[in-house]
Amino acid sequence: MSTTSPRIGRPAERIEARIKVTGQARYAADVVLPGLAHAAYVGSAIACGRVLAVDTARAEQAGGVLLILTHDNRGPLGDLPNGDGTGLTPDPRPPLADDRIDYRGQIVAMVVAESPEQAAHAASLVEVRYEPAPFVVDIDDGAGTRLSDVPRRGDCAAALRAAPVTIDVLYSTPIQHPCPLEPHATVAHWVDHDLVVYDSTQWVLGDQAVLARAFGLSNERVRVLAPFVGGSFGSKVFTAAHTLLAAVAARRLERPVKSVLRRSEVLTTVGPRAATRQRIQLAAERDGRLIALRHHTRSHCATERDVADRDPFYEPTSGITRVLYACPNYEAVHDVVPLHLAKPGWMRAPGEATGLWALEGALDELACESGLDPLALRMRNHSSRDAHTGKPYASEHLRECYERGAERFGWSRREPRPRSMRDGDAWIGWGMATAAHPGNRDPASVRVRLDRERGGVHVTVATAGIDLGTGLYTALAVVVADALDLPGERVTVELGDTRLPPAPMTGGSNLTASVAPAALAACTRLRRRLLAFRRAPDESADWAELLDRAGLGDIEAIGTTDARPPGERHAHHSFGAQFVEVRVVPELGRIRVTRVVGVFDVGQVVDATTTRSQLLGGVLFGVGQALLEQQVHDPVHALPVHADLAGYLLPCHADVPDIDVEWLDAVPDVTFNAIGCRGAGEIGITGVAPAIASAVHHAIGVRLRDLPLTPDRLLAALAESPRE
Amino acid sequence: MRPFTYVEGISVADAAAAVHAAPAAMFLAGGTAIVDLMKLGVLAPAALVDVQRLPLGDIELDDRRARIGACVRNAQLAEHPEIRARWPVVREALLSGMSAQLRNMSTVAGNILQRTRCPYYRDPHSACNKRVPGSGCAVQTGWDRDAAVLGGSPHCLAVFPSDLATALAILDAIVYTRRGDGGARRLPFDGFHRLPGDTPERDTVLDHGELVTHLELPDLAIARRSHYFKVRDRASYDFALASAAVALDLERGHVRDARIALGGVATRPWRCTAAEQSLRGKRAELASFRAAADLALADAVARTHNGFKIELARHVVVRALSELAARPG
Ligand SMILES: Cc1cc2nc3c(=O)[nH]c(=O)nc-3n(C[C@H](O)[C@H](O)[C@H](O)COP(=O)(O)OP(=O)(O)OC[C@H]3O[C@@H](n4cnc5c(N)ncnc54)[C@H](O)[C@@H]3O)c2cc1C
Ligand code: SF4
Repeated sequence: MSTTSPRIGRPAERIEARIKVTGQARYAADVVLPGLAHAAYVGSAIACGRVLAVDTARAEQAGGVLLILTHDNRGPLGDLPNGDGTGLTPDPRPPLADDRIDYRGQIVAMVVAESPEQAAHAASLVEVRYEPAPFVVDIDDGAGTRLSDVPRRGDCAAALRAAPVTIDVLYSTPIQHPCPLEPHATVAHWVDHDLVVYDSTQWVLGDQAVLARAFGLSNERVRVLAPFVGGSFGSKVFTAAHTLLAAVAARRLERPVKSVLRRSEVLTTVGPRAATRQRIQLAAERDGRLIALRHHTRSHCATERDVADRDPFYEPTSGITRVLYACPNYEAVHDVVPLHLAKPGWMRAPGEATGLWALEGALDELACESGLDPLALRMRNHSSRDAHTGKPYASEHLRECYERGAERFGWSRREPRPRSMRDGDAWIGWGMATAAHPGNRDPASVRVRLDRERGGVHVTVATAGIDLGTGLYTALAVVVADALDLPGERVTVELGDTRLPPAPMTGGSNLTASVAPAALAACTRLRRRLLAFRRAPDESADWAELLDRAGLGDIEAIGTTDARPPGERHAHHSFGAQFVEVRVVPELGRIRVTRVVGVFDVGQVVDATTTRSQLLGGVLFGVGQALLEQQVHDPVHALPVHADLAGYLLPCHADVPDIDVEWLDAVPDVTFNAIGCRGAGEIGITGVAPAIASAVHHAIGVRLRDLPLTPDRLLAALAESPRE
Repeated sequence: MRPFTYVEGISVADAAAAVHAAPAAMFLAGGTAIVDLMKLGVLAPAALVDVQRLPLGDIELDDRRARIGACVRNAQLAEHPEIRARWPVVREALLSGMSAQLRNMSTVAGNILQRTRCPYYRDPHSACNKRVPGSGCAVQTGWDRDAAVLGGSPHCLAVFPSDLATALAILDAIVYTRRGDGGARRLPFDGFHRLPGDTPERDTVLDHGELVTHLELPDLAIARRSHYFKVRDRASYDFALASAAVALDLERGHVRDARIALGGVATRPWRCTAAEQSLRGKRAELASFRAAADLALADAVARTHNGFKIELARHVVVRALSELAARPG
């Protein structure tokens, strides 16, 4: 199949759009089963300590209550798999394991009742006595533990000492929350001692592995379904505590149990993006060429036990900083700071969105220091190979992204001096940054089946992979319709079920790159088998006719994508260039993003509609990261200050700038997979925040290094700056 | 959420009497504020008396005043052409707040009776005198970025969040009520919201079971040139970090009279009479506005993280007055 096929890369209609807007798409929380019972939770009121007693007497008297689970009566659960690649849980300790409290909001009791309202009411009647212990919830108050394997090349210290130009700066990012629109939801149902779970997850097979282990079942006896998921951004990779508890309760009650987290529970118990403190040291020649880059990150993790028990979570900031620019000397150091908070996790572009905030910011400072244009500085340090491993990229077009982006934006008209553009009450600034995300691909399989139907054939494409709203349904339909040269209406796609051919978790922008080539491979097999029934090699392929000739009512094939071989010669990476215009009204602390231009190289685009929305959404995510989003915890009382969407601010319509995204055409990464596609789900966010901060500096000459760039921070920085 | 009974109010007198009779009963209007607080476990009324069907949904106007029913929707008030012409600050304040959906649902009385957004008030586990009198005030040692810089007490520092109330504060508005015992009151808006002092649990002077029936805006020449200016974290759909409602009566480039109230920075709608006084007779120019803004914030007290609000509010006052003075007419 060639990548110049008629449909690949063009804008398709989302095939699942109609059932979504008409409410027919069934998300986990929409599942209704006979006898369904409903769960609600009691979250810990303290951040650290012990539960002394849980008094459920009043709650048990409340109407409709069926079951209350606490650590005293939860019953046995097996060990949970972790880190062995089969499934993940946020805590190796199962929920309600003992009396220990590690963070505020941790589930201390589960109430199941006939209705959600009765469950919530009864939960409010549960009385818990605690023995509180001292806690730390602020990364700046915590002690760090150094992680051991430190990537390095060359001799950073020596280079930093000798360099003509050096930069040494601290950048920070707060705890940010993925906030998918669909809250985390599970319906657990036991059917003849087998478990069926409808879950809002990024990974049905991960769920299956965790649940099977927890209940001592073989994997086949656990079925997990997630045909539709309403966003995730990394927060649904782990099998959540409430999912396990729903299955416990359903077994105990011999009734299906539905558990839907409240927004406040999502915001306090689901792992967020870890807070980081990053020190970047750069050494450069006078012409801007980098000599050394040292990147020291502190990021928060869960409690000390997390560090002691096993690999703690760390925000992988250095993943990108070590590969991006040509630089002979590099060193990364990583400390984790245990805090009494829910264990952090991966949030859209983990590592890139945080690491590039620091690195690209520091580069902008280097450009100012050296009197260089920020774009010219990037060009000067461009690397056509992974700067750390030295492997050449199989397909790399970053310079083209820079050039096209600059042209679309009008970058050449930029006057380098800060405070050089004004319009009415606002200073205008232009900034830019590099966007980057690795190409990821994992083993996957897809089944394609052709059914003889009246008037032709119908194709069913099936895989366990999950569409988070990102566009996999449409991408698979496009690939298969194209490969079999059939109209789109003839294709049905089935996703998100452990009974379907296995696929990896949706994460790291990997899924289209893993699953679409597998679908293509399946189609190739089918074609080969059916084409054998042609009467002449030049006879056009009519699948219905060929099936009839073969005497078959249907035919199917499974296609697979393999794991990447360890000794690959090439590296695979997506890149982009992002340009931003801001308007700043200093005395009002106001920063507004008015224009964003992004040009990306993501390999071959499979479907233009969903790729575009991924890139647009990524940019918007970046605007939120830059200007608004932060989860603050009161260091004295451990209160998560923003536990709803009126307080945890996401961009609203008025915050949305004019966004222009473009991708390079005809740049398939052909050694990466048969289609040449890498993912586009995350790269859109990666350069936005640093480009905004550099635009703010250009606008008013003030450097902001702590996200988000809120009015109070801008006013404080202005008060300290010598300019005004 | 605790189970509660729901009653639809039939007449003004019955509704007031029904709440008056039951200590744990409350009025329900659009529900956009109260229901949230019930779900959080902050309020737990045993009964809700719905006032939305009461005959309090009209805006009556003549050349002396506007009489606004308590159940007029915030959107309805904002869109009224005569309100827009005679009291533009009301419309601007309303449109600067909430979302379109919330404005369609919520009422004028509910708006001025909404509770603080202080996160400790909204968390049943935290010490909060406003929620549980005598339990303490977590903000005093906790996260105070959003706390008030004006009107606070050692017992409470919570910002009163209503934009509409900030506008009403400069309009000589009057609140009409019906009490549960059948009496009625006419309450000047000026004293309607209370300072927290040592009883922060009471936001207003209303008694239990006292139903707001109307708001009155007397016709006011100065209100025709009035304006609301608000700064918030997000570009829209967000509460004020600092806001100002202002009105100017100008004659040949001089200020004959001025009105200024602050929002987002104080424990109640904050009228700035000294600042208003300072403007009278002055040229309508930046220097006078700056001096007035300094006076408006003269008594402000910063805590650990909310000091920026003082500087910000000064700029907001200057900006509001400058924009208004530059308006034709
Ligand atoms: C997400 C969000 C954002 C918001 N943003 C803003 C903003 O930017 N600016 C702003 O000013 N506001 C904002 N608000 C608050 C909003 O203004 C209030 O929720 C709304 O005005 C309340 O009106 P309601 O009719 O829904 O009141 P309800 O919720 O029904 O009632 C509120 C209170 O008033 C009492 N009450 C209602 N009517 C009467 C009456 N006639 N007599 C006596 N008591 C009565 C009730 O008992 C209750 O205590 C926001 C709210 C939300 C949820
Ligand atoms: S400031 Fe007022 S509302 Fe907030 S915690 Fe203190 S008493 Fe409660």
